Amino acid sequence: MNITNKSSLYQSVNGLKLTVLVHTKLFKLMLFSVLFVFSINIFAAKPFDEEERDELRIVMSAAFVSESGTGVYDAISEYLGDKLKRKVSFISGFSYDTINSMLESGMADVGFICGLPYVIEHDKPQPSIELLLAPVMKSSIYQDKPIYYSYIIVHKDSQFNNFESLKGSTFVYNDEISNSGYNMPRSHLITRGETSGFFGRVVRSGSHEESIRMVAFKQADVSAVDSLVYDYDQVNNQKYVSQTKILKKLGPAGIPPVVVSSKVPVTLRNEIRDILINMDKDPAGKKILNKALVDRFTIVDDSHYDSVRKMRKQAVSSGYTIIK
Amino acid sequence: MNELFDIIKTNTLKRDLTIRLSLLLSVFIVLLSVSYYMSSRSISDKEFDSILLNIAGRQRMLIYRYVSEINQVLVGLSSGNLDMVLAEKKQADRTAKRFEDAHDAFVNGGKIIMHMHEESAGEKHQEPTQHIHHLGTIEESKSGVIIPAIPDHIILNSLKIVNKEWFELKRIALLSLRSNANEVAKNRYVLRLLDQASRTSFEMDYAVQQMQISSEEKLRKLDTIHFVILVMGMAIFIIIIYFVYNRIVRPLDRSVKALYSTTENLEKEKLVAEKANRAKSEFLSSMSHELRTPLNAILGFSQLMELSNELSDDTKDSVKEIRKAGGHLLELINEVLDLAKIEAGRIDLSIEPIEYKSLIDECLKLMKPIADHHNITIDHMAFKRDIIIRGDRTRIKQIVMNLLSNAIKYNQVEGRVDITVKSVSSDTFRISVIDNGIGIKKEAIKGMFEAFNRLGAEESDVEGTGIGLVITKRLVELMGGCIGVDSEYGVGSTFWIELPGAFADSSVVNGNNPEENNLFINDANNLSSVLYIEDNPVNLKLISKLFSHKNNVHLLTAHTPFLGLELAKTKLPDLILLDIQMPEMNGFQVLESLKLDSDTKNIPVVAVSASALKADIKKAEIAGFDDYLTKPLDIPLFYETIERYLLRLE
Repeated sequence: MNITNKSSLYQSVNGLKLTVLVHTKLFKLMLFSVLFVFSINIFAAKPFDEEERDELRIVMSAAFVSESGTGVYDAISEYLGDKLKRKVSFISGFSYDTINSMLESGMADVGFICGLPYVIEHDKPQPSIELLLAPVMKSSIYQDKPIYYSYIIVHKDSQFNNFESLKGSTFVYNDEISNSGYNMPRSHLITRGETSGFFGRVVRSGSHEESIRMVAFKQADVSAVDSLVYDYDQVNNQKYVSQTKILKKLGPAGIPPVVVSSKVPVTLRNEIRDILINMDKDPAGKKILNKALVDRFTIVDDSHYDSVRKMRKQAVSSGYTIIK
Repeated sequence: MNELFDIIKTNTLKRDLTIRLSLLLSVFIVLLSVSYYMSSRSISDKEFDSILLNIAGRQRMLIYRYVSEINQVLVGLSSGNLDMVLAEKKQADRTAKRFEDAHDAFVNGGKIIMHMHEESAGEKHQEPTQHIHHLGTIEESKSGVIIPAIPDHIILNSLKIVNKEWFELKRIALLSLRSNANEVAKNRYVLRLLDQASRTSFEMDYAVQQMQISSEEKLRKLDTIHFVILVMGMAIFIIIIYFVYNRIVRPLDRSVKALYSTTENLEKEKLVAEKANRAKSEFLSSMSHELRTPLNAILGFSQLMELSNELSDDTKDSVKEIRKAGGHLLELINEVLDLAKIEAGRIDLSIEPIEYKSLIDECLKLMKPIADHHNITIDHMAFKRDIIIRGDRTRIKQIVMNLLSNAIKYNQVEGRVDITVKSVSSDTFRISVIDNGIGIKKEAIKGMFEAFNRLGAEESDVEGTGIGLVITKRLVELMGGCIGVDSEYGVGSTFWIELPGAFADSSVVNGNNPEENNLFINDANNLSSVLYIEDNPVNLKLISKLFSHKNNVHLLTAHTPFLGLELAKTKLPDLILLDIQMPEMNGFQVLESLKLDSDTKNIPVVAVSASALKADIKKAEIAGFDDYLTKPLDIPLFYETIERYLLRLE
């Protein structure tokens, strides 16, 4: 063996050793770093549903009461929070779409939403919400069932006396995915064969309350509004409803339900359900429900909203998805 | 003056003053309280208004804050940032609630949160560290203030409009939040929100302006009321002061003026009275001198004649009658003058302690001849202990002798007079003169002490002037005593006097020692010279007669003051008898000349004067006279005086 080679071999071996040594240390360092970062992420990045357990977020669409009545549902939320011994935040004032997004993303845990948004979300391949309960309204027109109506309303002084007379008038609705405000009148028009254009003008208001106001101020001739909102305003906020009259009642249909985000743990869901189911049996809870004109909450099946689905499918199949 | 005295006497002054000053104080307290209340109210209202304005300003800020937060929500919605949407919506809801709560408190009264701490989800409401003061109608609470409802209708109407615009703002906000996901639409809403916020803020500004106007108006009203109350209060204050002034000061002023006027009048009357008094004194002095001077001759010569052995018995009887008449006249003159002096208040008393026993013994000695003449027995029941009476010795003697004289004169034949003394108190003694004479009828007793009222005795043979008891009474009373009489008609009378006195521990007796009678020593081996200076020849003659049988006295006489001075200087007599009232030079001037001369200054000078006034006697004493003899001369006293001074020379 050539000494020189031997030396170079040693050098090579030493170099290799050094390299291996360095790389081993580097590897260890890298491994340590990865593990360190990973562990931080593990501890820092809580799963979304774990964050939600600290505060229960309840969203409400404008399908139950007008803005003046949101305080009642805020009180229902607080009641729920007291019973759950959790902090609760109540959110309202958003469109049906935004609320659905909140429930879908888990930003909201519980929702008082309209039947159609529920159907839309629930019928997705990966439903983001689950049906929890539905209210039963006190009024006798609801026959002690979790149902409601869509009121076709006009100004009390208007000349409209039947649905037919509304042809060519200005129709205002709250939201495209509102059952009572859009789905049901659309279905009624389809059923009547009025799919080629019935109203002279169609305007979006954003809420039933706004629709009622616009009819009251004659900014629109007719609107289809949620009977729950209309009934509440008739009792508690007559400023606009007193200027309108009901031309026709459409329905009944499944009442806007109480849903939970699918990210809410089952145990919590059950707790919420139990509390709301028994709310009418608690004097304090009953008092709040009375203000909301609600008799009680009841368990409903998804099939209860088949009529809503049916009207939606009818619109899709008839190609009359947009009221005109 | 009477007005003030009447007021003081009836004690209404104190009551009136108390009432008026109480009213004054009450008005003052009420004024002070009202002023304090008005000031507190003004301050409270100002602070309240400033808090309202502060809150109103904060409301304006909340309007724009709400809009800003809604805009942030819209941004979140546009970007799909639901976290931001939720967080900003929560903030916006809180801001809206704060605005509406404050607005509601404005209109209906209630609690307003004062602090503006940011609250994030999950965080507890932070208590403010700033203390809110209690401001009258504003109550303190832990996190804010509680205000009453605004009563002003204009402001309430403005606030209603603000409320309407606010809810319109909220409606637009909700519209924007519920609009479909169209960024252009949302931007339109942003402009609408800003525009509505501006309108709402404008209405809030107007409401604030109304609040400021109302506040200023309120303050103006308060200030006016305050001013009116102050003015009214001051007016009432002044009125009450006036009443107090009126009630006290005016009567006082009138009284003081009346006092000054009275004092002036009194001063004038005093001058008049003094003038009259001086005139009276001069009259008395003059009358005393004018009456006494001729009486001096009558009595003096009659006495001389009585002493003479050359007269027949008949002549002696006549002379005796003359002397008696003269004596009676003298007594009458003395008593009238005495009474006049007493009435004029001109009597001078020399109050001194007097040994009772010696005084009575003197009186008895003097009265014994009279008593013997009337065949009356006088008996003195002396006290076991020595008694000292305080009074004027001469006058007490006069009083006792007057009583004794009456007891003797108005007694029965072989009657009896007893003198007793007893202690009626620790400092008062009663001297009683008891007789068993005819007594006095009860109805006549009241007239006993009336001048010139002799109770019918003037019809009898009993001599009297009728003024002795009057003088006696006056003198006793002047000496602090009293006099009285107890009598039974047909049985007798007791006249008594009470005078201050005490039992003597060591007697200070001021009076003549009867055992020290200055007998006229007839010593022919020691010839003395006496100079008599007198302008009246009758008096000169009398004195000459008095000295005529005194062999050891050489009498020199001078009928003029100048001659008298000449004789005094040349002869250097042992004694000078000097008349006071002389023409050209009176006795005082002569005395002065004598005293100025070294040769004659040590010669004793005795004044001989018809004036018996105490003042004149005192004046003579002060002038330097060694003694004083009054005319008409008491011959024994005269001799005694002469003897005394001539004996001193030995």
